[in-house]
Amino acid sequence: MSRGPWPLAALALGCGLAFARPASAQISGTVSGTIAVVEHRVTTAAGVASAAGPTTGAGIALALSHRVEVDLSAAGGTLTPPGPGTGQQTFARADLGAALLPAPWLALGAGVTLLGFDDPVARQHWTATRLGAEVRLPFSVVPLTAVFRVALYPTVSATGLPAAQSAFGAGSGLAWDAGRLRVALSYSLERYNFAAAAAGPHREQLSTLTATVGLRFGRPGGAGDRGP
Amino acid sequence: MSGGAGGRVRGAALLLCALALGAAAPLRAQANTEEMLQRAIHLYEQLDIERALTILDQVVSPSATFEVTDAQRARAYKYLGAILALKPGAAARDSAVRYFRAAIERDPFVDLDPRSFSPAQIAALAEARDEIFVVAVQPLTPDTTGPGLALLAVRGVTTHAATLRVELRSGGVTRRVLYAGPNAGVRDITWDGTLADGTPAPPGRYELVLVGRSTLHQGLADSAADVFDVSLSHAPLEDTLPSLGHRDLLPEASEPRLDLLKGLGVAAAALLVQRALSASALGPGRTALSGVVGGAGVAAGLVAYFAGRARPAIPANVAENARRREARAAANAAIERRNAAVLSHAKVIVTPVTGGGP
Repeated sequence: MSRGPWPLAALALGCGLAFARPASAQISGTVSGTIAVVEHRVTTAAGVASAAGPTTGAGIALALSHRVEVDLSAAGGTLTPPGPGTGQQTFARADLGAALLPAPWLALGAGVTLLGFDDPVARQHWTATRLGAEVRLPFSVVPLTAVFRVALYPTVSATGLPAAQSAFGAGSGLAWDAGRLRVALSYSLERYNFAAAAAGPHREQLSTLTATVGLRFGRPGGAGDRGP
Repeated sequence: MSGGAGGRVRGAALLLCALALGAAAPLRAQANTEEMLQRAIHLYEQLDIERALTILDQVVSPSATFEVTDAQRARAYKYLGAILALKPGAAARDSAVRYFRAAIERDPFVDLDPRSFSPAQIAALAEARDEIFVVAVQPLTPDTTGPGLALLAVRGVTTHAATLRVELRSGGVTRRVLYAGPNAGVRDITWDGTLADGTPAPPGRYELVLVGRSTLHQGLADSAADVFDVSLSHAPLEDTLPSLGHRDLLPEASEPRLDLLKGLGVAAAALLVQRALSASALGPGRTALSGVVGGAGVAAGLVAYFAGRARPAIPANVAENARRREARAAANAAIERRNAAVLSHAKVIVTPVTGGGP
């Protein structure tokens, strides 16, 4: 990676703020808490190493207008390898993003993702930029919304690793609204393909099952309609 | 300068002079007619009526040397009538009335000032007016009216006693009746720039129509019209909001099959993402993670499907849509009220149209 993720992130946030109307009365959003199960899988010289465990986190999503949303979230927890005798891994994650909504059911977003893996042997930090799209389809009778999302990570830098050759993610989920309360359940998978090293291609993968409970504030709609 | 060049210059100058003289000829002809009229009127006022008569006969003669406008001809006939009305004898009086008729036919507004003409002359003119029936209107001049401004003045005439109706028409439809009632002679009518409902006349082409029916001669009627354009000057108006489209409204009927597809789609996507996107070298990992969302998607789809089958209509959405439509209608009504307030203070600008109909 040559220039790092920050220019793209700044551009995304700048576009979001530029398209947002300056009426603060329009701002609405959702504050939420999350519980997730994360599975981290990585290729090693010995084969595949994996670790999984629960994480908890919090986030806030703001609708600056009917067309612009920004969100910030952070989560952390401990991932444990399946076998005995191996050390635990502390996992942390933060996401910052902005999205434009050309239609109420479509959000086109960009952002930055920070990952941290900390174990007794090493500490690794990741920084990735993200471009993605999210489709939100409300059900007609029940207050549910089906959410589908895809993302590309154009730049990924990780401590001790070469730049990722390709990285992408996808997921789906459901969001249930009851008044100001929002409950959501989603699954996502992120895959990172790094350049081949002496030991062969290096792959890392994060599978995440996330349950979110959020409380909406401000006017109805907007960020309150965001998916899980 | 050589002699040849000098000749060309003189030739060009002569050509220009000839062109200038040619263009000036009609103007000079009218000016000569006007001079003749002025001279005849002067002679008439000096009571040299025979010489005045000779000149006036020359003006109205079909073989007149100079160009004569309708207005000039009407004035000539008027003074011819006035001169002959002064002469004794029934034949002279009949001729006076005939000349006055000719004057009225060309200018229905023709009149005699009692300070300058005798009762006999005025009586002859009145007899001529009674014999023919003409309705006329003086063309409007560019003007502006509106709140706080002077009314527009319109002058019409019926040559003798009649019922007169003055209407403002647009697109063949009567938009306002400015006068309806008896009339004899000239009538001044005013217009404040509004239509029958009190609102300013919308921009467009209008016709001021005068229809008269003689009360002296049964069945005799005439009409006259003047065409003009109206434009408004006012503060900018607000645009009304567009009607609510399907994107702005909630579904009022359940879509059970579509809801089932959405739920199954969530489930399929979660399972497919874990299977298809995971690296072959890593394997899909814990399938339970996507399985939870897959199960939830299937359950949500089924619940929504059966709920939709049980409740084909969605009363909450119907009510919400009705509320949104009412809110939109109220917003548009408020905009229209504000626009009407702006228009009520608009200035109405009248521009005559020459040679065009509505």
